[in-house]
Amino acid sequence: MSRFKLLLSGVAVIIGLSLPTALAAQEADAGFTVEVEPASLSLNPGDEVALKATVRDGAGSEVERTVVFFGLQPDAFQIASGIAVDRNTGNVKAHDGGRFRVFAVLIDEAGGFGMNSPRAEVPITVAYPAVSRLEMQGVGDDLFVGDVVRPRVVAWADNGAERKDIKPQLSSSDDAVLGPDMFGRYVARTPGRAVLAAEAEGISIRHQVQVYANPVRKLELSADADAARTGDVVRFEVTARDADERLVVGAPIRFSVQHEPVDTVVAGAASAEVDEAGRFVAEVPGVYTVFATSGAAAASASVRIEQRDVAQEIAVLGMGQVSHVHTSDLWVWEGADGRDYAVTGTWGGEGVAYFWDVTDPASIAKIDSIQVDARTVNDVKISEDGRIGVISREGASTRRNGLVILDVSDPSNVSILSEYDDDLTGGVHNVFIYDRHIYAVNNGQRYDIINIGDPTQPRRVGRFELDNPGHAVHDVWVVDGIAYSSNWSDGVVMVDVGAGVAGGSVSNPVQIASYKHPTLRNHAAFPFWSQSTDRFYVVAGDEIFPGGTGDDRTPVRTAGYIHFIDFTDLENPVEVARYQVPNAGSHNFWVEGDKLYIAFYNGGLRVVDVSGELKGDLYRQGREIAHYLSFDPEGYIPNAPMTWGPQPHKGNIFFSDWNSGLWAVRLEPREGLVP
Amino acid sequence: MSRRHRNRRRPGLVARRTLQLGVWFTLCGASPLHGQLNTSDYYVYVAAESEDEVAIIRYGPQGATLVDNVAVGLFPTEIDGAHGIAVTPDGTRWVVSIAHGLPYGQVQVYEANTNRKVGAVDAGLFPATMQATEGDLLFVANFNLHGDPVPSTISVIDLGSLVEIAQITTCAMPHGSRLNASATRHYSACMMDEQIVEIDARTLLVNRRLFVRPGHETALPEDLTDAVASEGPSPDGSRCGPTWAQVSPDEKRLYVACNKNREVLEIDLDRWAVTRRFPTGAGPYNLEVSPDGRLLVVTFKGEQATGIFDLQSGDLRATVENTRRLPHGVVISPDSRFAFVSVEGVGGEPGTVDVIDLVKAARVASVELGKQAGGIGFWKQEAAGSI
Repeated sequence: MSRFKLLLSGVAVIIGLSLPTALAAQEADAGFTVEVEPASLSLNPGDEVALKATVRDGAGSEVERTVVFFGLQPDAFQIASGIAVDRNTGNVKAHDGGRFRVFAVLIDEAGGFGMNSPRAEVPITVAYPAVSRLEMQGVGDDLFVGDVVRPRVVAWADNGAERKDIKPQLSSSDDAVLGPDMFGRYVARTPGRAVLAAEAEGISIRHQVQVYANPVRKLELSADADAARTGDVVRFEVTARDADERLVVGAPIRFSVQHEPVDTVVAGAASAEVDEAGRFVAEVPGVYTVFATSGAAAASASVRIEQRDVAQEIAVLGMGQVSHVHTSDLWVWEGADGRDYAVTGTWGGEGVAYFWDVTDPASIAKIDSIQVDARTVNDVKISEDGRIGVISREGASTRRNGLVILDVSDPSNVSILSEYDDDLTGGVHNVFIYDRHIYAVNNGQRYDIINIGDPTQPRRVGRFELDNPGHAVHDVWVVDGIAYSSNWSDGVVMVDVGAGVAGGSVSNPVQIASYKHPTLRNHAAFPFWSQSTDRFYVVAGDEIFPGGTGDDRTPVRTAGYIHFIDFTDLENPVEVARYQVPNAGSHNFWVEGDKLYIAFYNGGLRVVDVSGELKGDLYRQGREIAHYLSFDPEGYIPNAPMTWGPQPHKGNIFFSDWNSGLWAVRLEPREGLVP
Repeated sequence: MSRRHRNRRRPGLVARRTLQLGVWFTLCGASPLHGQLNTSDYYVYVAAESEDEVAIIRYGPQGATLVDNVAVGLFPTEIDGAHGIAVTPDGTRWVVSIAHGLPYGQVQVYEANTNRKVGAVDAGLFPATMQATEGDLLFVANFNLHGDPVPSTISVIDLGSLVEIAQITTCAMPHGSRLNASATRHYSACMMDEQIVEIDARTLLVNRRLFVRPGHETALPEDLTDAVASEGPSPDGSRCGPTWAQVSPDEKRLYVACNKNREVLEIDLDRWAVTRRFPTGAGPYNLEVSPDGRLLVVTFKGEQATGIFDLQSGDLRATVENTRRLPHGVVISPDSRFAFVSVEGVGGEPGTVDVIDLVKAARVASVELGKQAGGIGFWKQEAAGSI
């Protein structure tokens, strides 16, 4: 549809008149014209101008008629966000820079207008705040021949904001020394001096770069291992020397890799990568040779990669079947009596949570249930001492959802201690208990921190909420005084709620770090210190449904994957690895030791080896230890695995399945070599 | 709780209803529809808020039937809250509001005959009740039910291009989005701000406000979004708690459900003042004026019943018990013959649509659908058996 048609389709319907009536009324206005003064406007932010509309009849005489004004963006049918237009008076107030249009449209005798209504268009330009300085990013002062850089010039306005509408053109004083290639990068070609320059709105920047001859005449390349497994990160170290055997620091080094696959790998895909720091990881076995080059100097080193070989069998121990309603989350704990218990929620049902004795996973027994005024008990959590439980409510008949606090000291006789819905009526989707406080996700917008020192008298002591427009939160998990919230497009946010890292407390939560992962679908997060390295990771999972909603009795399609974010440097988190299962999507997960347990919805339970440094795609590297698809012919949707959440407990793995209830499985020991 | 127990707790209800029905049948002798057999099929859409489904219900000579269920929402493993329903005046599309999003809710548009999704557009926080104009504008009350009680908005969405062309700030918790018959004025009730807001549907500006606290009804400045703060606390604690506003077909009067005060207000739109008060059952919630202008049907959310008022006399002519607890929305067929009432139910109970014959003042059919039936919209009336 053309822009014009789009505009008309939009404005023609502003008045709720029937079309025939409107058309007849508009035809009566044939020959009328609308004139607006001024005919165009150039404004600065903050300026305010009243447009004056004059209506003339077919004879050119001025007539008293009503005109309404609309502000639109220049290139689409979209409300002009940079200006405010009073529809009645034609008063225009400029807020932000940009080009806009205001339409003045004649209201017909029937009170409406449409495609044929006389109108006038007023182009309006609102000046951006002036550029005060330019900044050159992405290039240093000294380069060696062979260096490739990607300079970027940023324009800053005098109000401190970036002028993203400006893309200053960059030029080099000497392309032979330092000039652009066809990919927009700048290549240091010959020794010499070059000046990179840019200009915008009379402000210029010049950045001098000295290009030196590459002194490297010799490279030495070594790896920190001769042999490794798929998924292991091997570090290649390069030493560069000049003609006098002196060390050269900062010389441009490029890496590449060649793969000699094992005989069983035929027509394989890309099988390994080595990054600019010489960190190498392979997905398939074989002998890999890594090449380092700098100018004319080159070196290589090889490493043999074996299959990771971490697979184990999974044995099903038992099941607590729930087939009349969907099952949601679970929690497993050791009770005050030393026995082991689990609680599971229900989804889209009658507001019930089930309690199970799982001491013998082969004989899981339902021992109690609790029903609250809700349709969904999405989340269930138990306190560290195993005595207090909290369940979330959604779909309360009173629309006052909130949460319910339980006495679970005797899981066979669970009772309600209190209900708490103060300002939590929008539905609590997820909860967490940490150190006598409940962290409750409130209406998907923030999380509230509720003291349960006296669980019969819960009281809010704090809350945390992002402040950017359109923020949302889905889950929160607390470890060692730091809350890790999952915030959809805002990614993972770490907040000090008592760790002492940034002076935060439950009543004064202080954000300390965050990371937005590229899929913008952060649904859950779980932190862990790597047992075998000294790196601190946060596992962040997507939740994506590519097929949208569907019939409640039809299996669901899912997508999305697990992101591994290295938060060792809190100020510079880096996403280093992923675990992505084809045709399935991540949901909840748990890390214990060097193992990651993931509920992968229709992809079932997944157990992944996360030992050592992480890099690349862990699924393709063969780091998956086991997976189990929870088929249940008697499930709510029969034979449709939909794993919701896992939890390792005392050597066993418990998980809930949306369609079938509670499961207990175990990783079978790896069998020894057969002589 | 069984129905028998519920009736025992409200001993006055049955006796009162018997008396009312007697009066009603006497009056109905003059009804042009009295004694006529129903030869039409009537179709309504109903949103099941805790199921994320929209049900298509047909009622005809053969009774009420669930024709189809359409899954709506955003995520299959989360209840996103299908709340409001609107049918375009030409009957070609229906629209459902999805209350919960990330964080903004959404308006989803479907073709009526195929139930194929046409598109969706974000609205504000908790978009709830809606109405569409013949010019394809959709007015959506962004209820913001669960947030802080801050002023919220009415979204105006062009259904042709699926563009939100305006958000008009009105008050805290706007609800009951309804237009007058000529679609020149829009009305909404402000549950937390004790006011009714009139919007000029042409200029998309707030035109008038009316404070509706019992005994203190008065016009407010058009730019006053927080009426309660302005007017101060109620000296006797009384509240209207308006949940719905509906204009009479002749565009002269506005009816407002005072959910917290067991009454419906009649407001003269010329005088912008309350002219009559109709005592109701507990928790009047939604209401609809019959197209012939004779009846006002009100759901009594607090007592599992629906009231039928005679608008000429202002009398409550009948109270019809609903099938389940928490009656919610009501629509009346174009021939003013039947009222269709959505009933939420509690917990795992199914939602229900009760069909009330307005001539007999009796429930003549019920049909179950997904949990927490709420928003309801009338689609079409056609000769029975039509395909």
